[in-house]
Amino acid sequence: MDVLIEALRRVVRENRAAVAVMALSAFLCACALQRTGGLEVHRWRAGLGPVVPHDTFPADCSLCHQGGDWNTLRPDFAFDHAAETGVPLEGAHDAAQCLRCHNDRGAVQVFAERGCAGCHEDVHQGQLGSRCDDCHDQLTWRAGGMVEWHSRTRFPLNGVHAITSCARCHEGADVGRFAPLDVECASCHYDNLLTAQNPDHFAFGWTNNCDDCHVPTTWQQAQGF
Amino acid sequence: MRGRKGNDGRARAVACVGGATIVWLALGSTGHALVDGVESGEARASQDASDEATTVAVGFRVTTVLDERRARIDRGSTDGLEVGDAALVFRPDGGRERGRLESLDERSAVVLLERRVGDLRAGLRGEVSVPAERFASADDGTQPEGTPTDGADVDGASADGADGADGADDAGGRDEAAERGPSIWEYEDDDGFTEDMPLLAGMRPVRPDERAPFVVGRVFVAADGRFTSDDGRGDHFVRMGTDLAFENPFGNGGLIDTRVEWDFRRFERPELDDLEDTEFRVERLSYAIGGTRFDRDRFAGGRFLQQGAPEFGVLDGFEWSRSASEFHAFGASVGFMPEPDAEYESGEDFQLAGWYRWTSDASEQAAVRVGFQKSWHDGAADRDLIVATGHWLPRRGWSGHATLWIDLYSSGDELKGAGPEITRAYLTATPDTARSYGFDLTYAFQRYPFTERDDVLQAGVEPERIAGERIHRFSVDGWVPWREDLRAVGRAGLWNDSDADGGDVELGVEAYDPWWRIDDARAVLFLAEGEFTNVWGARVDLASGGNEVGYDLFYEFANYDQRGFDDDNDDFVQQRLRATVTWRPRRDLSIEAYLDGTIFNAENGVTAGVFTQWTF
Repeated sequence: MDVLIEALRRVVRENRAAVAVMALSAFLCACALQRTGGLEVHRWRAGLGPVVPHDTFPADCSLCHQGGDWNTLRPDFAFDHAAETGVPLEGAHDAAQCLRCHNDRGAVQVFAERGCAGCHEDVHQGQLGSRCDDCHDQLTWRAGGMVEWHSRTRFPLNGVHAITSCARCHEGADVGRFAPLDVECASCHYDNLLTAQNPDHFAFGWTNNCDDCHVPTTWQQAQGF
Repeated sequence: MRGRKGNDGRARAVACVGGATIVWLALGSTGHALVDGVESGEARASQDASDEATTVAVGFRVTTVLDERRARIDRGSTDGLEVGDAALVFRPDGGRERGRLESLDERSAVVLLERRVGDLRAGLRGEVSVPAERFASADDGTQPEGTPTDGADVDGASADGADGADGADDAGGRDEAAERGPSIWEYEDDDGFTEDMPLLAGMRPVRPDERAPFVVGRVFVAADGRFTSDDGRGDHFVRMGTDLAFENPFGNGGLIDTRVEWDFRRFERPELDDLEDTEFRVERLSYAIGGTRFDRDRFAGGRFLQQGAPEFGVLDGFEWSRSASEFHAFGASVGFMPEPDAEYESGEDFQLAGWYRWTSDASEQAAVRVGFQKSWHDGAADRDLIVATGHWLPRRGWSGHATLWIDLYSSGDELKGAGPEITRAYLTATPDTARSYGFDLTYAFQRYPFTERDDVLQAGVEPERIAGERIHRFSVDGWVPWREDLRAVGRAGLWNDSDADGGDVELGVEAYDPWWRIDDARAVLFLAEGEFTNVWGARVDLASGGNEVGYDLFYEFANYDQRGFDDDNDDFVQQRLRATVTWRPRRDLSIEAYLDGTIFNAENGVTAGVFTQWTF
């Protein structure tokens, strides 16, 4: 028993922040479960009607619906979202299924005001801000024009850097992690530094200030002497 | 008996209550005798007198014509109807067609007429004769089961739809209607009703078990080749992947989310060994249930990006969250985090996290979320991270987003020392300009976190930089209109790190439909000062976008000055030309091909690529 208590103390002592958060979570859960009346009121009530507001739609349901249920739309169903709602659907949104946005997970207007992140998960995990359309289009979501965009950073892409694949420097590019990198040459070119034997860069102590001799306009040896 | 009101909120609120549309007891409206399918006036008068005290007429309107004998109407069991009840449909020419209710649900029913009717159409009025005793309890001050009394509380009684903000706006109207209790539809303009006018009938929300499952997603293929004037140097990659979302697969509102990708890369370099890598990566494979208006708890399991706090990253594990009320939500997660690189290996980084979110109201005009993540790398404590986010989204004025990452270091973190440190911040602010002009402010701050896990991304960063480097960035982006089809665009940015500072300026014009088949034209002059490089130049971008084929032509001229040199060899001109063609043979298919050439000094390179995406 003493061993168990001592182990518990050690866990608490070494992980105070985590224990505090877990305790707070447990407390909140306990409070929520106790408040039986309060929990009945969900912020978005089940009684609010269909996920798409129909109160301005024409009376003839068969203009849009077919079959014996309300879930099947006619094959020729069309809806001018911009004209009817004042919100134009651009790019791929124009061909998207209605229920991808109008669903039971929340109110579309609230989502829309949050911007792209209202509906789309942020694969950059919040690290690139909230203005997705600085880089992405709405048709394929493929980011374009990143070379010219890079001139806004500490490291404008010129020479060979301008025709190098993003993932060569941004290790997490394939999974959306474009965290700013260190701009020092060795951060990306450490392998080149290790193998630079003619002359031996390490022997001469040439491990910094690469731009004293090298320019980014060539893939080959130093120029400018 | 029925007609329509305007579309203002009060009318809708009244409609919510009236959505029951029970013509509430007797009121002189009665059941009717039916003869040979078409009712005669004489027979009707006689039967009216005899049945007046025994039946109640419930008014309806045809919403859908199923065939020449069957029509769906906008009344159902909550209006007191039952299968077999007699119904009359009023033809435009004054005749009446009789039938009976064939089937019904809460808010609609199907009328089967006794004979075919050629001009049966949506919008026609009618009545269902309902035995008065079915409503007898209402006379006593009680109501029949399922009869709505409160437009806000009765399931499906509201026609406000899913829009939470609208719901909030109309709350006053609903309350007022609720105070009135059950009301009779009294519309003065029934004769003016046409098919293109909206019904104001209440509709119930469709439950997940009534909704058909469906699959949406995309399949994409991207291929890219980079060819240079340097013999033996090149860079090639192929990426193929698919995202699939199975909505409501088991009829309980759940979601299966999958995303897989296969990558091939080959980097040829004469001075070192070539690099070649092939990866098959499962980026998402999860099942989530709940978190809807029917279920305040949400559970997710598998590999997923944490929904409650995406800053905590992708997880192989389990997440739970609860919307405790309109204002409060909280959640927790547990599991392993895949490494944040192309390999996505999992099993080394374990995390526990919890978060709490407060929102100001149903429209979430203001929201604040605070979360904490504790992670272990190979069993050893690694990172204590607090993430705080918030937004302010008023209808008018300035809106803003802010996110703050705070690392809590202990005495064991030798590069940082014990105590909290802001490792990242991102703040944006934008005024509401009604699109009369554009203006965005952005501030970003970054330090390198000292973590074992982030070693993957910071492998080449020297320890002293991890310890002391910090970067501030501030930028202003904007545009102002010159004419209807022309506007000026501009931007200014500043940065500062521990070694230097710099910035950039862009100024240009954007024109819409300037000439010939060009839809958009943009010309910009730019100037930037980087850590090692100064640059000035100009860019021109011309775009033409048709329904099927779009073109984009981009040209950039730039003069670079490498500051490390002290002779003329540090200046060079670089030109880039990029042409892109996008073909959309169908709405769900996009094929994009591009050619990007770069020339600088005696070197050059060309990138050719294609990106194809099919969405469904």
